[in-house]
Amino acid sequence: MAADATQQYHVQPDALRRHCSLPADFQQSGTEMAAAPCIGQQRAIDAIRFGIDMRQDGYNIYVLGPIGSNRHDLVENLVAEQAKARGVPPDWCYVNNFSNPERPQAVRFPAGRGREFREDMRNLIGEMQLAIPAAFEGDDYRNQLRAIEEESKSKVEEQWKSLNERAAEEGIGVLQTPTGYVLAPIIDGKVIGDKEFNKLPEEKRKEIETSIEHLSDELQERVEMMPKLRKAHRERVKALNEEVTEHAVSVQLADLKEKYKSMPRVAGYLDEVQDNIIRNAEDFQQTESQALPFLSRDSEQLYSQYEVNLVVDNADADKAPVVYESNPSYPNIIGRIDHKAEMGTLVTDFRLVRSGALLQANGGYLILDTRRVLSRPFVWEALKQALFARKVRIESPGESLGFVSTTTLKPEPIPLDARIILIGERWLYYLLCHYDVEFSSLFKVAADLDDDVERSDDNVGQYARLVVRQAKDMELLPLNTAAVQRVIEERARRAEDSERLSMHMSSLDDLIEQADYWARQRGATEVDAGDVEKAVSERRRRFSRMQSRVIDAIKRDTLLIDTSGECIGQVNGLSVTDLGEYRYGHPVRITATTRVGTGDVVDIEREVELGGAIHSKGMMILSSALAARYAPDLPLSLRGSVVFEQSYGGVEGDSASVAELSALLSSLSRLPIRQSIAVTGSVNQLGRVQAIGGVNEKIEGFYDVCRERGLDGSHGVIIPQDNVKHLMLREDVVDAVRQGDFRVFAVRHVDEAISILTGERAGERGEDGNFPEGSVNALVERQLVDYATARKSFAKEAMKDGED
Amino acid sequence: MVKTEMRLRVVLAVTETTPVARLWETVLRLLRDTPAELTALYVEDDRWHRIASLPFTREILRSGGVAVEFTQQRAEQVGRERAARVQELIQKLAAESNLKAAFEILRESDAERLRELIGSRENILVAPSFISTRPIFAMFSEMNCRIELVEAEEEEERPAYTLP
Repeated sequence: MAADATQQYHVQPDALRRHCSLPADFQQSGTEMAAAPCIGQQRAIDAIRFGIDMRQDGYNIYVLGPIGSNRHDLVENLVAEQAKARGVPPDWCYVNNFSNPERPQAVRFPAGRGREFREDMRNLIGEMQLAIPAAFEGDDYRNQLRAIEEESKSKVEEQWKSLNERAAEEGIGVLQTPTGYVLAPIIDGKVIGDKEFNKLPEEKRKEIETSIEHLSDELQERVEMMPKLRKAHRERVKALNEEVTEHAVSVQLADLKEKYKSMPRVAGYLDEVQDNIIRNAEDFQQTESQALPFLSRDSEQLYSQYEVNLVVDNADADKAPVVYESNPSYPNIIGRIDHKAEMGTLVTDFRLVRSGALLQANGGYLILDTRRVLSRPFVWEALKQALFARKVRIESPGESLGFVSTTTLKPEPIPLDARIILIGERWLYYLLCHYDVEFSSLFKVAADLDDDVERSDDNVGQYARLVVRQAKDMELLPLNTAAVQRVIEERARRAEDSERLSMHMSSLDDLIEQADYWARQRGATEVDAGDVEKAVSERRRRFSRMQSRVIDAIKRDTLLIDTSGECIGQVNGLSVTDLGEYRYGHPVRITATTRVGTGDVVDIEREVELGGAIHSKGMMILSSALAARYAPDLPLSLRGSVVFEQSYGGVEGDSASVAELSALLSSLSRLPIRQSIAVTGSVNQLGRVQAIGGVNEKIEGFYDVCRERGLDGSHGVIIPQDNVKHLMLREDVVDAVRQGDFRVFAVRHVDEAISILTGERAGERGEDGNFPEGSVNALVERQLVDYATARKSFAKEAMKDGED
Repeated sequence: MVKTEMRLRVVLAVTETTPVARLWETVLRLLRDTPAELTALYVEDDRWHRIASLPFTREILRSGGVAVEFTQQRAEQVGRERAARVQELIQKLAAESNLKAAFEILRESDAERLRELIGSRENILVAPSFISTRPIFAMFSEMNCRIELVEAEEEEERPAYTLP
């Protein structure tokens, strides 16, 4: 094949890297710059707007996009717009439930009124703390209490006095023991014993016994009467205390009731407060002189039961809340009930109920990272439960799962009306769709952010302004036009497509920051293209240790890669190694051997389980292509084997299938392959060469190896024609091509690849059904026919031997 | 029984019905004039035993008004409790007056111990006037000591019921 016959496959230097050209005055062309992540994301933006506008349940949003694509900025900007229109949601308070303190009541207030009510109740408590003790210390109260006590006391004394007098009349003494009373006969002022008693006349003895018997009955009656008198006394004192307390608080409470009369729930609560204060009036009299003061409720505890726990305070808000919870733990999302230590015990009450992000975002929007939500225990289930129930029930996870049976608070659930926006990677979205049947009904809106956008003039213009703005926002040196152009080219390279631009914003920020660094290093006041290039190359250098080791191994012939000469059944394929943040290409030697067989092409990688499924598929396709194309009337009587030489790790992908097929064709045709040319591309059953990934890295990987050994114009890489649009090669590679030191061939069919590799025409079937004599395909077909003939004759001999 | 040294002593004779506070002023005055040891002598009254010896005596309990048998054992217990109450009162008064006071319980028939305590002429016996009607007073009179009777009536604890 003549040298210029490959010319038609050459990719011209201009197509190897699509340069960016911006008008010099682009920076002045518009002061209104597009929001960073909005460029080319209209579909996702419309989806988010749709989700946040919908008022029905279940239209929560899942924003699909890779980390670093500024998903949060996009969502927050869009939600912030809507939040203004939606208005400020209500406040929520927890107050004591006097009839059942374990179930604090949730009370709703218009925005700002919750805080006002909390202050009003604080003021009420302050006033009560002064007014109630003052009322109990006043003369009125004391006089009334004294009157009650004296009256009660006189009633008691009257009872005893009459008994004592009657006993004395009958010569009986009523003596008091530590635990009760004893009736004893007294003669001459002295208690008599049995000796004296027995000396008395019988009549007198009977008289004494009778008196004692009657008096005992009366004594018992009085003893039994005493608790009733005490109870009556207590009730009168209690009634007095209630009257005094009511008088003390009624004025303040009346003002509050009037103020909140338009809010029935609050008015009802104030009635409960008043009832409770009056009912417990005696508690307000407690003094510290009690025997065990630490067991009694102190003044703070006494009044704190009327405090207000404002769990959602929107007093300072001017729009619906937009909450981003970066640590979506169960308590941070649902809320929690705190405890405090008292006398060695953990105690809690309604004042220790804490709201989580769901309540803080109630009436607005809650933004969460999916991965974090799923990785925090119990959060996903609790979130779904709240969305289904449309209520937030604050309880510990242990309680909600039934693991803990300790009595604790069960605050009244608060109605939930918040739009949840989950931000996460695509694979998480698909996993949730697949494994969680409830997910789709709760998150009906998927906003799928593009990883890259079309490199249209309009988008390039916006992108350029975005670059300028990012630099400004980050307080970096300004970028001149050339620098911006270079940045945009790098963004196309990041997108692996000369016609698209990557929307991975964090890597853009990294690039601008690093360019700024290098500009400052040289004392510049603005960033130019060289600084951007320096940032790119230095980054590459920082990550290039592994790549350098591979090139070094090739240079020292540890890894056997020929970049000159020719060899039958041996071709340079191209591989990409991905290190996460960086990936690089390098050549791999692929060899093929063929002999008579039963139509098998053995993929050695697959045999030893080092080949992935896609690689195996590629191998099977090329086997099929071989069988379909050559000697279609004969059984394929070939046994071929293909291997990646010196490959000790897994091999995946079908991008080597053109190279593998080329090695097989070389082996069959006995035509040597040029080792100065590497090849990449996948092939279908019809021999069509198809696009592959990592084309830039692969070309550059082979270029780097050839450059180390010395470029002589014979070196080049064959790529699929469909990959030309993806080319964004390094400037040094483009320069080498421009100078004729290196070539990039773009092919559509495997025939084109084999003709470039062997220097011989591939050949097409003529009208006679044969390939042209001497062509690669004719030689291949001849060999396959020979194999079939050999196999047939071998079979006959075998049968004959069998008959003999 | 402890052998008591013959030292100058003021002996305050009390019973369970003695208004001790009323006698205390006399004790203080005597001790101010004559430095001496102070001994409170609780003259045990056997009236609880006498009451318990009657077959029909019952104690009506304050809690619930239940009537229970008043036995000799219970009488002994009540006597001890009464003595303890008086002792507590005297110790309190002594502490307030910065004095030390010994406390002894004396049965009315124990003349020997009485003699040991107040047999000396220099000793002074302070007692309520109503004690002169008691048999023990005859024993007091036989002692060589000086006797100071303080006008006082028996202070019987009146049966009553307190308000809460």
